[in-house]
Amino acid sequence: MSELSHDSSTEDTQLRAEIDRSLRHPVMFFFTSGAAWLAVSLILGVLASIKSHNPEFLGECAQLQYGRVFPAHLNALVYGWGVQAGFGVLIWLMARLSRQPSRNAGTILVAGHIWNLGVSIGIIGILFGFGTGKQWMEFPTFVWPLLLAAYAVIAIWSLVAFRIRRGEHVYISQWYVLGALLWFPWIYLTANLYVNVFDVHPLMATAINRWFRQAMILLFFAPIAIASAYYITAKVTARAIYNYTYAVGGFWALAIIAPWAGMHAVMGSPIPVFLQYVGAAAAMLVAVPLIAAGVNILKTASQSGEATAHSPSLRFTVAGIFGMLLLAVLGLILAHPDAIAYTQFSTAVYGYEVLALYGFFSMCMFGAIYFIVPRVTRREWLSRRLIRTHFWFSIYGVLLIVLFCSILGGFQQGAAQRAYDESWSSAVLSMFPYVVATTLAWCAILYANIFFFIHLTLMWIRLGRRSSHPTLLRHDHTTVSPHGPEGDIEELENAKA
Amino acid sequence: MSNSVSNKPDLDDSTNVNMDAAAAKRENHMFTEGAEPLSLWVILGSALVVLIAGGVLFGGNVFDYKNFVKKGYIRKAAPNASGGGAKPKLAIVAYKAIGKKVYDSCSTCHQPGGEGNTAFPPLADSEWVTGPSLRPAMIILQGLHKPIMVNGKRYEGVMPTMGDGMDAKKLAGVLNYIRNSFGNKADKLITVEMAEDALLVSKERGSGPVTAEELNEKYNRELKGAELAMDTPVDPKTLEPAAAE
Repeated sequence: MSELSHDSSTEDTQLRAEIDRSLRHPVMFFFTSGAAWLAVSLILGVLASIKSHNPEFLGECAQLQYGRVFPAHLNALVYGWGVQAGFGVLIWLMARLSRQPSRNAGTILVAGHIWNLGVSIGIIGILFGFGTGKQWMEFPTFVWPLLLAAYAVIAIWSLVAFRIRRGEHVYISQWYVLGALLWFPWIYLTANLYVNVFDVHPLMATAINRWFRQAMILLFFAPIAIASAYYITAKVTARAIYNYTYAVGGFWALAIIAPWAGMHAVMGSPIPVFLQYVGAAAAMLVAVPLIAAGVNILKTASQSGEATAHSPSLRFTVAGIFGMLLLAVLGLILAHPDAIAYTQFSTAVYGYEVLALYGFFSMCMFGAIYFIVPRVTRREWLSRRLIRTHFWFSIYGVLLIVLFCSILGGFQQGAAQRAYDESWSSAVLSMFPYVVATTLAWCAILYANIFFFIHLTLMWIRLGRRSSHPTLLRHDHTTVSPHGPEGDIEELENAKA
Repeated sequence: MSNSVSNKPDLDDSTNVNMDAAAAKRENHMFTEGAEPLSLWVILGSALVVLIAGGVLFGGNVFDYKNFVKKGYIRKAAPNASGGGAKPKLAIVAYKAIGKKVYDSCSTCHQPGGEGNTAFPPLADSEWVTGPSLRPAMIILQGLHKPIMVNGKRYEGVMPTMGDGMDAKKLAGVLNYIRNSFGNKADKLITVEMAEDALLVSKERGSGPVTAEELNEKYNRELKGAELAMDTPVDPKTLEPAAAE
């Protein structure tokens, strides 16, 4: 990276440092509490996965049964980790790209605590039997207005920052962040009103619930991850975005296509056919904007292979973008009506969501966190070995869950379910090796993220390395410390004095 | 590391960005507006996606509001499968299968073989059973008191009312069972529709056991309804004639 760097003017550096400082408390709060929720979610995920092949595990405690632990796992993953990591990245990105220091960090921090309170109440509510049973909306129904209000207080300042941005140019990441900022309240409010408040036919409520899940992936998590990837890639490689017009076109294509997707998941149910087929077509077509973002980011990153290998931010981001392309391909396959007939009631749906949430979104968020945290804490990451562990165990785990357990297992499960002359229990039993492997995969991801959480917490409590040398994933075996000579800040200070 | 720098808190207001914001200082400028030509493969790949998705969207009856579900999507009952969908059976077999279960409660008196005993008349080779079909239906539904002559023998036993909870399907089943077992051979199948006729007549009459004389006077007729050949394939559960395929 160093040989590519262009010396920024002191003024620029000062402005960046000012922006980073202004947001350091809310950003670190979102990241660290998000990472804590991620660890909670993964523990619950391991538990749910064990319960699915070994129901006697941990006895008959009602709070630990599959029917409660599994939704708690998913909701902690979505609202505890996913949305919070998204908040941290989007407020920082919007401030940086609009070149406006935040003046409302305290308000955002308070709203962030309210969000965490809401998620905590929701998760405890699910575990004690007050869940609603609607996927991704299992929190007791009084929680969603609280979360929406907290969201409004967090997000409004980023809209303000965009409105008073310095310079006219709107970078592609800003488009995506702006999209996510505006789409989240739309989909969250609409879905919760129609599913939880209005007296909608249960069948239609189910379809809306499926639309909500797809929209959360395509209209909230995906735009934030893509925004972060465009930013990190251009920043770390110091290259121009491969084809900028194509990138902007990809954004508008996503904005037009993605809201239609989702209701194909209930294909075959008596809701109007066009909802199912438009949903299927949109879920497949969304591959076009995803390919646009993927090609642009990977082409930009590939011009600087060394940076991709050495920078933890870029490595995680590129892995996340590969996850996004895999998601596009899987969407193309799984949304096809011929495949839906097999995979509709199988683990393939879960696999698609895990890939979207972890293999794509979370990997991009990790990349952003490895980039942002040294800037807002002014400390370097402590250990490249911890980062490597985090990276590889994440990759192994998510590939095992998605490709092997959910896709291969999902099609086998679907085929077994359709074997009319076999008993249903044989279809269930045929999944045994896959659910055991899912448990192992979640254990690997949990292992990776416990270290990530510890690493991030050490950074948060300002125990990071004080150096001007970034923590890069190099493999050089020299006698000096892998991070360069230690204590060079003091040397600089002494030289100055 | 950290104890040696305590003389300069790094986040004080007089920030020296060169020293404290090292990460922000070493950042690159961003060059955003690239305009490399797009690879043909990208265009072809996207076109393929559009083609497949377009096939899904325009390949079916997207705006057909009558058929909610794509044709052939919901699985059919598999042929020769035990689990899914019921296999059609011959009408007489299906009706008798239902009737045999009902007859379990008759067999205490009339005996499993239908031969009866000293108090209760036989069903085998009895003109009351194989004759006009409304008469046995009324006996089952209403019960019978006072003696009855069967094949020249007098039987004193009281037949209790069996009509409670007896629907047309069960009645048709048990009628067909007794009329086609124990050596009896009826020429006509009692369909569900005919059994409904019996239920109607029984309802009009009101409750109370019938006598043999009353049966001969008022109810000496066949049950009304469309006839069904005994070898028609029917669904064993619903007793509806099975589809032609």
